[in-house]
Amino acid sequence: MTADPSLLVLASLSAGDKHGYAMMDDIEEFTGVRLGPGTLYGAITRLEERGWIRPVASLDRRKPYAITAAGVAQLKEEIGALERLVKSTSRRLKQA
Amino acid sequence: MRRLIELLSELYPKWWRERYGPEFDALIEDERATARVALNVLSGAFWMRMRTLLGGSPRDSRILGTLTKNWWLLALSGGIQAIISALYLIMQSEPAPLSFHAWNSMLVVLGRLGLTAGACVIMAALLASRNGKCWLLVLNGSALVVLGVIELGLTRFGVRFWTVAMLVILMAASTGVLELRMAQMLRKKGRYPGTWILSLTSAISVGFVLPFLALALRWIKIEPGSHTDLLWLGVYFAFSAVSMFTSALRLHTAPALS
Repeated sequence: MTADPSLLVLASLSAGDKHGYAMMDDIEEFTGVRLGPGTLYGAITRLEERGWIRPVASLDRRKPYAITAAGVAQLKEEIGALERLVKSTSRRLKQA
Repeated sequence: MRRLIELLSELYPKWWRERYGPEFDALIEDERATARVALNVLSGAFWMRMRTLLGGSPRDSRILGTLTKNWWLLALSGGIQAIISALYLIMQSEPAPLSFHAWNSMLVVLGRLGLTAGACVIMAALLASRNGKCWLLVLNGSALVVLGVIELGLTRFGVRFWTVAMLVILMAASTGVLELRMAQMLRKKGRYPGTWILSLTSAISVGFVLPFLALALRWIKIEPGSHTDLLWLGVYFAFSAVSMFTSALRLHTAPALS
């Protein structure tokens, strides 16, 4: 499965706060793909700049992140678009 | 391999290392050290550097925040530069040579206007800036201030046009680079329409370097009494006024950055 790493990070955080390594494990579990550290942190940087995720206070170096309300809205929008794509493609495949 | 990955992670930009460095290092320690991970860290560092180069660092955001707050100073400087342009064009179009006294008075006015316009530009770059001082704009304003000082004392020090041309080149190049970065940053921040105008004025601004270099190196000859130098200065300041107004209005209509 190939998908935008930002979407995968949002999807992972929608189930609860996680630090980088836990996100990599979680994403691997539900997609079968293990993101590299560079890819994961590229996505985290973009998402934090857009205000879709935020760091959670922690004494550990492994900083957890949480999805924000804006992030949840964005995730819903993207899932909606994916659902429409799946529906229309399934219909076309049936007609073919 | 782990040591190599740690070294590769140092290739990330400084601002990024300061923000994400410790947690990224912790993640690398936890992850298996393979060639695939090393390659992924290398490509991540490369893209983050590219992003920074194209105006994606938090510092660039802070600089744009400063300019957004001080947009009116840029507009004011643009207005003064329009007057400077008009004076140069009047001086070069006078059919009869101006008297020494009239010439001197014009230079004093130009000098004062240059000082004021330059001060406005410097203030726009530094006022309420916190960590987002715009040094390119400080350079631009300083060149304008020096030009004003030269004009105030030109008859006394006998400064050559070469010096004036070099100052204009400095102003044109700094404006060009700044506007290009502003356009890139605004595009990254969201869908602000009209950033192409900034890219266009940036290209024209950099384009002014060539004729002034040609004038400075005497590839374009200035015939005695022709006032070609004044004509070019008038044209440059007219463009610079438009460019300052464009930047000011673009920044003023980007409320998300303020």
